[in-house]
Amino acid sequence: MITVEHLTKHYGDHAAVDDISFECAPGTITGFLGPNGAGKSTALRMIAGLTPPTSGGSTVDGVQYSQLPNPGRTIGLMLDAAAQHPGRTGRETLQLTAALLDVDRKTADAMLERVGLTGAEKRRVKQYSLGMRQRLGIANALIGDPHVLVLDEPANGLDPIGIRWMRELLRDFADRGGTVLLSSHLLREVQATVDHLVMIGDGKIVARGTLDELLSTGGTFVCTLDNTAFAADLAAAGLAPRPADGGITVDADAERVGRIAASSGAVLTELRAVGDDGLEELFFRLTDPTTELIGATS
Amino acid sequence: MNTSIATQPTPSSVQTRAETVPQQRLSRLFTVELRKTIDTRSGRTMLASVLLLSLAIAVWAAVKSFSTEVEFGELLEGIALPMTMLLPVVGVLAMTSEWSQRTALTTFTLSPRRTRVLLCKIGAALVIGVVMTAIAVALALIAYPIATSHNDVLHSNAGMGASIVSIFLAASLNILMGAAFGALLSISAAALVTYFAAPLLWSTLGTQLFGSSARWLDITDSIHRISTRELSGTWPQTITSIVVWIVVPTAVGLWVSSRREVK
Repeated sequence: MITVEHLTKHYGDHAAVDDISFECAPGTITGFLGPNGAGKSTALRMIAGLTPPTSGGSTVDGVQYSQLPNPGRTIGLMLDAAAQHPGRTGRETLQLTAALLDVDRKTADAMLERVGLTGAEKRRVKQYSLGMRQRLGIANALIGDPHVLVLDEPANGLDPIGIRWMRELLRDFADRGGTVLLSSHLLREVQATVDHLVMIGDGKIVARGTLDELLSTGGTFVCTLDNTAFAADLAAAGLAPRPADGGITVDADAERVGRIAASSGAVLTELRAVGDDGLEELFFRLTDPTTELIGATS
Repeated sequence: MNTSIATQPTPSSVQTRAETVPQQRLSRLFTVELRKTIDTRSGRTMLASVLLLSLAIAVWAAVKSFSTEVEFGELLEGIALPMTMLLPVVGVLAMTSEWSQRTALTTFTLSPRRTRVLLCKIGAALVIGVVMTAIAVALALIAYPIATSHNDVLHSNAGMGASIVSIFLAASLNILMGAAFGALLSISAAALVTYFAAPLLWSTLGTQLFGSSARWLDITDSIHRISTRELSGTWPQTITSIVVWIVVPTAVGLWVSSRREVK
């Protein structure tokens, strides 16, 4: 459980993180989504006690990070895959963390196996690819058997197989009651992995909710045998239909559009939430400084 | 769209789990920091070269035919020179290397009480210093009888114990001062240069500017007095310079490090 309350960080006059509040509940994967420079990493560093907030704060299981008895046993973090000493081997790196967290030294080897680094454990981190460093970072985060995971851009440098592996690992972690918070600027990756979203732009939360809720705000795509006639039906119902690629999009849920079709007798050939590109559309819309903020404020 | 993240009540099992996690052990933190100081190639190379230099001096002293009286203290001082001169580098790097390697991020997320971590680093550098100095003492104890067995050289065992104590003190104070500058400046190069140059600069410039008053802040002189046991009447000056050159920079460094942003 991660609780963030009114978290704010100013650098001079610039608010890198501006009064953000959200919660990550056990059993869920929350995606922290935003363009580069939106304040994601700064917010995560504040959660991990690395950056002192200007105001506001955050807790893990109701406890301030710095007050956790042995943080790695409660919350696993990977904020920067480069934050491992290049001169140590993968195994040495994990053994040091294992010692600090007071877990069995043998856990280091088990973790190397779990993240698919067996065979590379005797090589120095210097020789690791970015993807391998990400895997080592994940192992370092998981070694204390925490029930909260915070990952900054975990998909960076991973190949498609690696990304799928990461997705399954996180899903499994959440299904066992763990709490996951991951940041990303890769829309597709987030869409396939998370069940909750906190979208941030220019330091502020611009939208948050479950993935389904946020996707449905993209509206509905509908295609009928006579789109022109059906567009008129939709307009008559008080909606604002927009012509889309081979059909119509409209800001209403599928049920409402379906009912309008039923009552007008239009024959539907396609009816779906604008899901596929919805998130991307939403992302650009929400993070564009010229549009007004939508979504919940705290 | 006024949606909020699903907020299930926190399961009690999660809370209990957090409470049952034992505190991070100080002894563990210390051994981990000690290991981190030695387990990289640069750390090992550093210590190996200090040992080799010391050994070379010991061998040279043992085989050299002395024509005059050999004093144990002088011999020890020579053999331990690599320790007193170079081990402060270990002290400096112990405090700075994590910042330059970006590993500070990992270290301080695993141990958020930074002052505790940094004190362990100082302790680790000190332990390394004491062990290395003990090796120098052992080398001196082996080299001394050999050196004095040549010809009919006079030798004096007087003050052996005191010499050993003072070499440990000198090495430790130098390492502490290295760590103090490392903590204060946190950039390896800057801290190293300052450690070597600043006391030297004060010794010459300070004396020119302030005459004998400069002695109050002359740390090189103070450590020399401690290691040669010529402290009588200079205690206030010695203590003052130690406070100014070691205690204050360490305290300020720890205070700043515990508040700075880790990136």
